Amino acid sequence: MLKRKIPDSLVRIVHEELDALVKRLDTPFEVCVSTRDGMTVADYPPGKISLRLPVMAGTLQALGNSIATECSLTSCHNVMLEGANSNMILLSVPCLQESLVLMVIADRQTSLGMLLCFARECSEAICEKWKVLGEAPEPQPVEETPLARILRGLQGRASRTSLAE
Amino acid sequence: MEALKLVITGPSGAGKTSVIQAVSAVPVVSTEASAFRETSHHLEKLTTTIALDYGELTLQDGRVLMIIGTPGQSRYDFMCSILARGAMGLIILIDHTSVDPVADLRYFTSLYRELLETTPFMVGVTHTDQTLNESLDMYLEALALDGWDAEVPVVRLDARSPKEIIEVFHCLLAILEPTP
Repeated sequence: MLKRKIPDSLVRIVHEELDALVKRLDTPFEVCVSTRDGMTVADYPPGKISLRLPVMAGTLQALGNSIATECSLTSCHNVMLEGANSNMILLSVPCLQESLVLMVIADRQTSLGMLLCFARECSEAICEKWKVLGEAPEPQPVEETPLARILRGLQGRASRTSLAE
Repeated sequence: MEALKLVITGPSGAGKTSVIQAVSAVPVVSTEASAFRETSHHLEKLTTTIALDYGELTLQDGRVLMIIGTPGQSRYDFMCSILARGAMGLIILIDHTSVDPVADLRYFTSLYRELLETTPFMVGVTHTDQTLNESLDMYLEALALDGWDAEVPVVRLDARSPKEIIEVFHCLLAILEPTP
């Protein structure tokens, strides 16, 4: 089974930026960053958002993109749902080749404009940080060459000898 | 101009997107996304449909056939019921090399049961060239066991062959509009 993986460094960045967003909003809300195919990368409050919601968010964002393309709008940056009790914003986070989806749900006390502004800043911050850190390759375990192994052995022997002396 | 809505469904990797791409006369509206979750047992499949595929085909009598492909994974079932509204017919594609293709068929006939009780459908079996067991009897038996009409067509289908796909469409239209 083939599964692509979100880079660990990106997951860390997303968590950091969601924490920052959480501190800015003072009304009850839920927030989630997920892949386009509905896999949760980070959420707040942790585990509260159902598994179905990121899947639906990815679908809605994809439909938004299809509709935008059909109308020659090039791309769909965000989708807003205004409900009786709360509002939801879906925002694309274009950090990978294929955007992630940021979903923010807040009650009507938080204005839609403020919600959009905070969500957009969160998305931009993730992209900015990823642009800097994402280009650095993930640290890989270095395979020891036979020569390095011999040198390490010699160094170990030398240090043991000096200790004995 | 009259338009007919045809829905193509089935598990991930069965060839729904390929079918639409093979026959559509207009650029296909596609909502493929990278698969960060498992999609199917096909190792080469890296993307998955997350909303719908859409293509069009003009029939000889001038009517337009709107072909809509559904996502394949069960977590998108909510989308399937939305897309199937108002469909004149449904094609269930089954990947013959799947771990349990009969279970796949039963899953999708069950998912669309309400629609299928009033709408013609047929089963297209794909990837039949990739397995030694070429018999389609198991699908007919499963349909009979679940109480479906014994005349539901079950056919082999190459999802890349426009000729075969159009034959299947004609077959479904023939069920819909039997010649007097």
